[in-house]
Order: sequence, then C-alpha cells, then structure tokens
Amino acid sequence: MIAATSKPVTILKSILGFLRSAPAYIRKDLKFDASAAMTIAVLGIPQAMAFASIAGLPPVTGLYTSIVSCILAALFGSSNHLVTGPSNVTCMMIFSVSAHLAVRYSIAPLEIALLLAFLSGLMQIAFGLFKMGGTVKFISNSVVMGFTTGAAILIATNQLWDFLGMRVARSGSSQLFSTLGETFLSWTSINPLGLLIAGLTLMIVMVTKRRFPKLPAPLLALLTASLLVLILGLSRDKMGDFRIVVVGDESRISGALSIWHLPQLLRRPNWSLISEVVTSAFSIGILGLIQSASIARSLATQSGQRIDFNREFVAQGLANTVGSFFQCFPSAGSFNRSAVCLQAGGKTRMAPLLSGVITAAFLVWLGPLTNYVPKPAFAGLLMATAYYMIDTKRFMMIWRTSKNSKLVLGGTLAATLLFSLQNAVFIGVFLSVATLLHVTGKPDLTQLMQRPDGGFEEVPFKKAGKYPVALVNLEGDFYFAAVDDLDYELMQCITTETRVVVLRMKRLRAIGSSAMTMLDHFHDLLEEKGIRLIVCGIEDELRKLLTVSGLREKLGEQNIFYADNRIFQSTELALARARSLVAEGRRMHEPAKGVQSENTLPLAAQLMNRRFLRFGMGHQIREALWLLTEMIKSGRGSPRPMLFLQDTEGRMADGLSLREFFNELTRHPGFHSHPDASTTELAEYLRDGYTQPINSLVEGVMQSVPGSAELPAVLAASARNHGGPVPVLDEEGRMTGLIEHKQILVELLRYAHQQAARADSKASNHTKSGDNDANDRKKKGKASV
Amino acid sequence: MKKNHTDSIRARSLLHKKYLAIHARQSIQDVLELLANQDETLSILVTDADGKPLGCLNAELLLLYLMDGSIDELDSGEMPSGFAGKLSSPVAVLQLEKLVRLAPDDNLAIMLLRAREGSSEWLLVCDGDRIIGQVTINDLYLAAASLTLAGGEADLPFQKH
Repeated sequence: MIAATSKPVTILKSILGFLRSAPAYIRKDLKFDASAAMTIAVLGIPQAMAFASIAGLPPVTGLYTSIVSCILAALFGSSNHLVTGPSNVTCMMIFSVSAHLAVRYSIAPLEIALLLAFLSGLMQIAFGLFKMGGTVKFISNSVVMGFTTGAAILIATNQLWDFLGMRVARSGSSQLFSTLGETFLSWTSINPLGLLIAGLTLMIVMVTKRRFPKLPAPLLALLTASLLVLILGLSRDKMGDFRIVVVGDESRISGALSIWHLPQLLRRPNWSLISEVVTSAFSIGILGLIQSASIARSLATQSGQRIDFNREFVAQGLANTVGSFFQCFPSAGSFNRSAVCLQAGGKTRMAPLLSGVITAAFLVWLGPLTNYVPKPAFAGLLMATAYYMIDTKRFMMIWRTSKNSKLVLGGTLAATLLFSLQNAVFIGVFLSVATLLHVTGKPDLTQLMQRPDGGFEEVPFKKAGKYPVALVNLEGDFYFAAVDDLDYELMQCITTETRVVVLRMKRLRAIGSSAMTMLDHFHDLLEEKGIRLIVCGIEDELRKLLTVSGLREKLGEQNIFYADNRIFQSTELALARARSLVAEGRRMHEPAKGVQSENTLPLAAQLMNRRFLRFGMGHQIREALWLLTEMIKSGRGSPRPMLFLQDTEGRMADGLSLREFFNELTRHPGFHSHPDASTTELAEYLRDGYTQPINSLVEGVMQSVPGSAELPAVLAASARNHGGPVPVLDEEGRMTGLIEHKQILVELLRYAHQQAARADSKASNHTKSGDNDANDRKKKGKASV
Repeated sequence: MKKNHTDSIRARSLLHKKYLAIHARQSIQDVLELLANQDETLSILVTDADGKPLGCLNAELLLLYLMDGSIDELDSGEMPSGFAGKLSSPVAVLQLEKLVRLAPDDNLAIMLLRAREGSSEWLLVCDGDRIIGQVTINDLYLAAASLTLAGGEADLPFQKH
C-alpha cells in the first residue's frame, strides 16, 4: 500500500518541485537553453530535410521528426544534451527497407517508414522497461565503426544520382553495386548545372567547416544554392533538360502544422508486410539505441551528468512510437546537434525541447521557402555528411589494433555494403561474439618458474626446461569450449624429468562440468605416466565443484591448496608439497643413493629435503606467523617447523624456529603479570609488535653447508646450531635444501650400525684366524709326530 | 557480543594422550633408534624405574651429547671416535630438559606462560601425579595464532599496509 501510494506522491512532488524551481530556471538557465536551442535549430533544419532525402521521404517529414521526436525524447529522456531527430544511419536503413517494399506492395514509402517508427519504438520502450539498457554494450566499437563507414559509403552512392542532377526515375535499390551500375548506365542524363550546384554546396560546406567552424555551414550552403537557383531562374521549366529540381517539385511544404496522421498500416494492417519489416524495425531500434546511448554517454563524460539509460530507451521509444502518428520516421540521437547543444551552453533538457519548438515555428513561418531549395544542393550537403561520417583515424586505429578487431570491422563493413543494412548489424554482432568466443575459447597456459628471490616468472612451455616439477599457470575462461582438448595441450608441459604437475587455477572463470571432466582425464593421463597432480589457487567456487564432482577425493586433500588473499601463497605451499613428493619418489626408487656403500659417508645433497619454507625479509612478523600456522595446520611440516628468511637476491639470511617465534609472540610482560588474562587481552599481548618487520628477528648465526659437504661437516654444523637442522646452500648462498633432525639421527644410526657390523666382522675374522692357527699347529704337530 | 571460541581453551582440550617415554636406564642407542623411527615428535619423556617422570630428552640434546667434544674431528672430516662408546651409555647420563607440567584445567594464558618458561617441545599434563597426556608447542602456537586472527578485519595478515 505504501509502495502504491508513494509513486504518485513522488511524481506530484517532482511536478511541485519543478513549479517551485520554474522562476529560478527562467532567471538562470533559460537564456542559455534558448540560445543553444536556436543554434541547434539552425544546424538541424537543413540536416533534417537532407536526411529525409536519404530515407527517400519528403523533406518536410524530416522537419516533423525534428519537431515531435525531439520534443518527446527531451521530455521523457534523461540526458540534458541529447538531441533526437533524423539520423543519417537510420535514414539509410529506412531507405533500404522502404524503397523496395513500397514498390512491391504499392504503398507510399512514408507509410512503411511510419510503421518502422511505430514498431521500433515499441521495441525500444520494452528494452527500457525491462531494464535492458546494458545490452547495447555487447555491440562493439568495431561493429559500430564498420556499420557507420558502410552507411556513409551507401549514402554517398545513393546521393550520386541527385548529385549529378539526373532527372530519370530510379529503381529504388539501395544496394551499392546496383546503384553504381544504374548511375553509370544513365550517365547521359547528367545535368551539368545540377552537378555544379551540388559541387558548389559541397565546397561551401567543406570550406566553411574548415575555415569558419563556428558558422552554420549547412544553412549557409543551402541558402547560397537556393538563392543562386532562384535568382538565375534555374528551376524554371524553360531550362529544359538543364532545369534544376527543387524540393517543392515533389511535395510542397505548405507551412501549415497539420501533421497528425494515423499510419495507414495501423488502420489497415498488412500482416505480410508487417512480418517483413519486423526484423528491420528491430535493427533500426537497436541501432538507434546504440547511437543515442553512445552519444549521451559521450556527452555525459564531458558534462558530468549521470545518465539513466533505461529511461533514455523509453524516451527514444516514445519519440518513435508516438512520433509515428505525426508523420515522423524513425529517429535517433544526433551527434552533431547534441554536441552543438553542449558547446552552445545548453543547461537542461529544455534546450533540445526548445529546438523542436523553434523548428516548428520555422516550419509555420518560413516553411514555404524550403520549396525553393534545389535537390542537388541537398545531395551536395549529404556528400559532405557522408565524408564526415567516415572517421578514418579511428577506423585505422581499430583496424590496426588486433586481428579480431580487423575481422569484425571488415566483416561488418562488407556486410553493410553487400547485404541489407538491417542484417549487417546482426552479422557484425555475430562476428564480435564469434571472435570473443575464439579468444576466450582457450585459457592461457604458461609455465611458472621460481626465481632465486622467491618470485615467479611466466615462460612458454617450450622454454621451461626439464625439471621434476612443472608448475602450470592457467588463466582465462574454463567453460566447455575452452577445455576441449586442453588436457592434451597440458600434456605438452611434461618432459622426461617431470614427476609432479602443479596446476595454478586461481585466475580461471566460468568453470563448469566440462572442466571437471577434463581435469579428471588429465589426472588419469598423468597417473598412467606415474606423474602426480597437485592443484593450487583453488577458490570457493572451484572447491565446491571439485567436491561434488568427486575430484577432491580423487586428487587427495593433501594435493589441493586453497587460494588466500596473499598472491602465490598457495602456490608456494603446493610447490613445497611437489618437491617433497619428488624427494619421496627418489628415496623409493633409489634406495641405495643415500649411502653409496657401507664405508662411504653420504653428502649433504643426498641427505637434504627440499621441503622448507622460504620467506622474504620485507614481510611482517604476523605474515610469517600466518604462514607457519598454515604449514602446521596442513600437517605437512616437520615436528619442528622452521622459516628460512632470504634477502632480495634469494640468499639465506637466517632460520627461525617455531620456538623462536613462540618466544617472540609471548614476550609481552602481560603474559607474566596476568595469568588469568582473557582471550581478548591475550590477543592484544600477542599482537603487540607483530607488525614489526621479520628482519628484526634475524641474528644471522645459523650454520649451513654446501651440497658437497660430507656427514661430519653436517654434524659439525648441526652441533653449532645447538643440535638443530642444517640448511644446504648453493654457491651463491641460496638455499637448496634442508637436513632435518630426523635425517641426521637416521644417518647417525646407520653409521652406528655400520660400525657395529664392522666390529662384528673384525671379531669374526679374528675368531676365524685363531681357528686357522690352531689347525696349522695341529698339522705341524702331526707332521712332527 | 560474539563469543570467542578460544575462551574455552584449556589444557584438557588441547592434550594428546599418546607420548613417547623411555626408561632412564635404557641406552642412548635405544633413544636414537626410537627417535629416528618417529615422524611426529623429536622429544621423549624419560622416567625412572617407577615410571616417575625425570625430564625430557629431545633430538637437540641427543645430538649435542653425541657430538660433544668431537667438533675438531668433525671439522677435519672424521666421524667422532667416541661415538660407539656414547651410544652404549644409559640415558641417565644426559642432562635432561626440565619438565613443565600443566593441570588439565589450566587456561591458555597459563599454558603460554609455562611454555615460554620452559624450552621443551611439549608440556606434560598431569592430574595430580598421574600423567594424562601432553600439549605440544605446535598446538599452543596454533591457539595463539588463532587469537591474533580473531581480532577483526583490521588485524588480518596480508592486507595492504
């Protein structure tokens, strides 16, 4: 009930608010809006009539569209500067639809244009009401650029007929080659005077735009051409074949504002015709929305206004649907006029609205004068329009950007020129989506190599070298199309040395059941080769999928590492696990490698374990605390977890044991003075100083050995480390492994057994040699006896 | 207010009932064999003939004892000459770590304090004279770490700072 009453109340408040602010508006903004409106009208009136010519419709309908559609869109829209009215691209589409259907169904092209406006408007209203404003973003720049360029070329070729002043009737085709062919075949009917007038108009527009950009070039050009034709009497019948055709020849503009007209196809629907124009109406509607939305957004970035695109869509739809009852053909936002509105100081939506009112006043008072505008002048003006529509700089920029952009741009341009305009947009969108799917259809596969400083760098599979652990980074979309054959591609990372594959899956999107099937198959392929699979960077969504698909159980919890908010944290843990698996495998398959022979002492490299935690010295104590916590929780650490700090070059600085950490954490005096401290107080004590850098704990006294060190050197280092573990470093001081307590104890025990066996052997030999001596003595005795 | 789960942390809630023990009269070699075949601990409880705990022996103490006086030999690449003799010595000859005892109802603050006072890998939980289990330093570390993480978003690690 509250919701039901609140809306009318809001509208009422809005109206009251407007009435209250009206005096302030008149004082402050009206003069700016009125001035901007005048400028828009001066620029827009000739354009409106010219664009109606593109659509193959009476020029006056362009004026009607500039009045009614412009006022309605301004009234209901959201943008303060968007000026709605005839647009070159939509006009070209109207022509391509209405010209041939008008011939086929024997109906006035205007009636088809009005039906298009009615239907496209309804579609636009629906888009707005269903809040589909965001859908236009799926039409890429490349599509719009290809389409606009194609439309510009079509406008130019279609105006060629009038530009050359030809007086013979045309077939009505809007196709590029048929129009060019038709024009070429009728070259004998060229009117040199018409060509002169058109050329003069084109020249005036281009020179004025370049030299005097603030002057209304189209108006000046049309005025000059009209006065020339009028003064020289070039439109009189006595000129014969050289007579210049004027606007009034085809449909005279009376100056009366009786524009209400119920479209014939709505009074007596022709369903066959309607079914044929529905798709075109949809194309025109979509294109109009894209054009209007992009212009409104572009202007809003300059004015700082926030645009409600759904409301703008409804406004464009109302302008078209309601406009169709006032002889308005489909309209859209005009970039030229909208930009002028902003530049001329327009402040509110009253500016475009007033421009419609001024156009109406022009039609009433000065409309009949437009009957004297020569048609070749319109053609000249439209040639200039077509020229300015082609933005070669942006076209080349898109063309050079990528192969996909080139394909979409070229494809849409070709479709616009070769097929029907209404289908060209859809072909462009299809190409965009197809290229997008092609791009996203393959996730990026690279191998990650750990640098000495602990960081990672990406390298292609082929350059990764042969190592026991292959760390593969997967990035991109992981949906059904993307994972096709991916398992076999992943197999490319396998070399003869590979024992463990680690898949980093943090940057994957759109993961589905196909991805799970692929992972399952990849796991099986690896298993056949005796290679283990570890996955890391697993986000919540992927974890759920792994669980429900049964892969979590299959991979084993110890081989799954979950993503956290520190980059590469889970990767580092996964790598530690992988190295541990490699070491385990070596121990299993090469049992004799630890001790070469009974009497040979093992080397440090043979005793060391590669499962250890390295940590940069720039981190805080609390980060190390968390890392150790995770290591203990995972159950994969040694009974005495240690953290080895390294400098930026990867050289080991010191090792910190869990005990040292524990003592550091509990050094707050509160632990001694408050044995009954609550957990909140304990937390405060613990946090005291834990944001300090970890290097504050470095003492740098830990003894290490090179990989070539023998057992005695390892034992000496352990003794100097107070019976602790011994890090193994390479020549540059980087840690390559760790000899843990247990390994030292095992070696000592082995040594003890060897010594015992040797002692036994000696004793046995001694006994044997004693027996032999007795036998000899017996023999000698016997001999002596 | 949200109740902190760590309020209920007591020694009995953290204890492990299993622990390694050895008789003081057993040989050092026995200890070596025992620890070398263990994956989960590097400490062992030493008891007298009546099963009364005497102290704690850990891998560090054992290694230091076995290498004691042999550094020069080791530095010259030789294994310690008196190694075999030491192995046959009884555990009683070793300087054992002092035992740190906890009562089952000791709270986390007391456990942390006791653990800091000692240096062993674990703390013995006794009900009177009866040993009922042990609390490892790793468990205490985890409990302490969980407290630091329970202080809200601002205190979480790895945030931008």
